[in-house]
Amino acid sequence: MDRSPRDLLRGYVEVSSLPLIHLRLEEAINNPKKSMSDIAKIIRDDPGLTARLLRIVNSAFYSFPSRVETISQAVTIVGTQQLSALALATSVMKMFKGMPEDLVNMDSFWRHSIACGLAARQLGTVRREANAERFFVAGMLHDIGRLVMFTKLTEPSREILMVAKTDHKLLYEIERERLGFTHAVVGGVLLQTWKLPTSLEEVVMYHHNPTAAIRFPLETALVHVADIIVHAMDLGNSGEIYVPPLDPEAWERLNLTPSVLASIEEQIDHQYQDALHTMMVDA
Amino acid sequence: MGLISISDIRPGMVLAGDVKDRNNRVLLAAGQEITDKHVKIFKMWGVTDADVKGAEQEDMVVQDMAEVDPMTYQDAEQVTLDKFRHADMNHPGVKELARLATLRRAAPGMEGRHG
Repeated sequence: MDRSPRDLLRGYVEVSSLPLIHLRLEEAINNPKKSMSDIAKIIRDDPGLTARLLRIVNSAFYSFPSRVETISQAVTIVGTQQLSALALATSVMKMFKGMPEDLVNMDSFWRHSIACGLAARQLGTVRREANAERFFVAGMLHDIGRLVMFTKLTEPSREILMVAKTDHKLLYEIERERLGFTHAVVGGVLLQTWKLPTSLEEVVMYHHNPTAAIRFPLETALVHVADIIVHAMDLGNSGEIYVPPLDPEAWERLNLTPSVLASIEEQIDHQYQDALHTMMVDA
Repeated sequence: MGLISISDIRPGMVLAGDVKDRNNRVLLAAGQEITDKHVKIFKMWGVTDADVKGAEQEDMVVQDMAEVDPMTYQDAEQVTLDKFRHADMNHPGVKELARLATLRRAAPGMEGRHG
């Protein structure tokens, strides 16, 4: 195949940059002169985003004891970085429209993505990692490269899906054989062009070979395992039929025992319907 | 050391280690026999697993098979084995995910889910 992941993105203007609001949010968060109320104001400029965020903050995703009524409250309770991460997750869902329907059911795709985000966040919580929302976004975006491939490599993607079915093979292995790169790499490059944090880019890029992640091995291992958990649970589908192989080194890094997996799945189940409902309602 | 998921704990099992909540407070001491009431309390305090005498998480598949209709279990297991064909079934983590997957299919609600 003579096209590189970067070539695919060059001709894909609809997704070539993130909505302006994210640049403004990132800028404000990283600017020590900006206050929480400045950040709340940026979010309030987008009524759709404001409504989506308030819905998420009031869902089982957080289970706060009382209702969060305003974005200012949300910023105070949830934190600016977390809120910005959630804003990113919901906006990306709106960017990918008009996918070839015979290739991908977008409903299933986002179900798988949201479930993986929940799983990654839950793994982060079990490990008592700070700012677990960053894992939610990483998990949610892990297969985003596949959407680029469905749009820009529609025919090869169709063949790859067919071969996976007839030969019982893993999608990413056929992708590598036929194209020379995988959806993971395409996703990583996409996040790079969006100028998102390197951690997100590396997690997405290496979610099928987590030991290749040099700078963010823990985050990558976490999403790698989260993806496998939601495949095992059969929540949604992004094209892959089979449970991807587990990298034993990634498992070791997370320091999990098999006995916690049932509780992790229970937590994912507990949040899943509500998360779908709040995030997908107008996506 | 036999860490067992809370959803697999059954009355009559005996603790090999203290059960603690997330703040390291002891809820039930090693050597105690677990009752239904204990399990409820563990769940209430967010306990995810407990160290049980003479048991391993890997053995819980035997308990599942005793509690689920055998035909239903076998059918569910077949689907799981197909989905896990590229996974290493000897890995303890994968093994547990496969067990839970079979249980989800065979007896929805039994793998610790609420309803």
